[in-house]
Amino acid sequence: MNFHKDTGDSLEPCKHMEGMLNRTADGTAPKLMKWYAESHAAGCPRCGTFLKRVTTLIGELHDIKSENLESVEAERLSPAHWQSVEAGWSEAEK
Amino acid sequence: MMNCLTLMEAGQSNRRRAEFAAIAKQHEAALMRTAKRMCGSDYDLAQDLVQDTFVAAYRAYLDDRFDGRHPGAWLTRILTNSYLYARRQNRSDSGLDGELIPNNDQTEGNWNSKIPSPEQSLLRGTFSEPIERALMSLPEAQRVCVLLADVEEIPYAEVAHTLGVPIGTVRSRLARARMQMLVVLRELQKQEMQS
Repeated sequence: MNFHKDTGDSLEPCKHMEGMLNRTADGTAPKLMKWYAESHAAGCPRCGTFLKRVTTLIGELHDIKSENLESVEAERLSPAHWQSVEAGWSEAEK
Repeated sequence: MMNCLTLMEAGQSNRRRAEFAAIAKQHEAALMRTAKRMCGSDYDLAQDLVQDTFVAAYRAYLDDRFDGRHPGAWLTRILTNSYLYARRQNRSDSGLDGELIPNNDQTEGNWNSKIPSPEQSLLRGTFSEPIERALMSLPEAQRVCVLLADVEEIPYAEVAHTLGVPIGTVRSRLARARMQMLVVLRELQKQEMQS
């Protein structure tokens, strides 16, 4: 395997590993690909760091689904919009 | 007899509407959040988008095009299609092609033309959380992919189908988006440490 020597300040993994590391992080990699990516990441500091960061990032993205952006009122349709929805539904029923 | 049939039809229609209204109410907040992220946080645009989604979804519901499974994912797909359709309309109205592009144009016209650029959203400071700000920094095509695949956790094949692109394109957009988000998050972290 071809490893980077150090992590430095760069976030970039080995070019040929980026896709495999992404798929390992998001859980869509087939077993063999996952094994290869994890083995490479174990010996390559930059890819190891990248894998950890992408895995954490995806976890945080999953979490924001259930978090509030603003107040509860801001996450509801206004009464005027609901009226338009009801009108649209009545039209659809015709 | 006629009156009896009409009453039965009306009763059935009321029941179906009540069933659908319950689904809509249950997913209203989640759809609003997704719509706001798609629209670059603009509250009014997001409301219009969710309104369109509920009307389109009810038509599909009446036509028995909803199988009763995963209503949240189903509504999110309709929301995404409504958003993409509006964006494409906007593109063709302005004489540009229908591809998804970064939403930094200044075209006048219907509601979707007013979608602010990610940069504008950042400047407005609507999203205070670093992860939200990193998300808003992405070009539209990548942001929609991340919203569907990483936030909503919709399988890649479905994301590809919804966006009308090959699954490989979804993967490459996600890879580019994640890399950009890591860069933005690191910059935000540096700024925080300096201040």
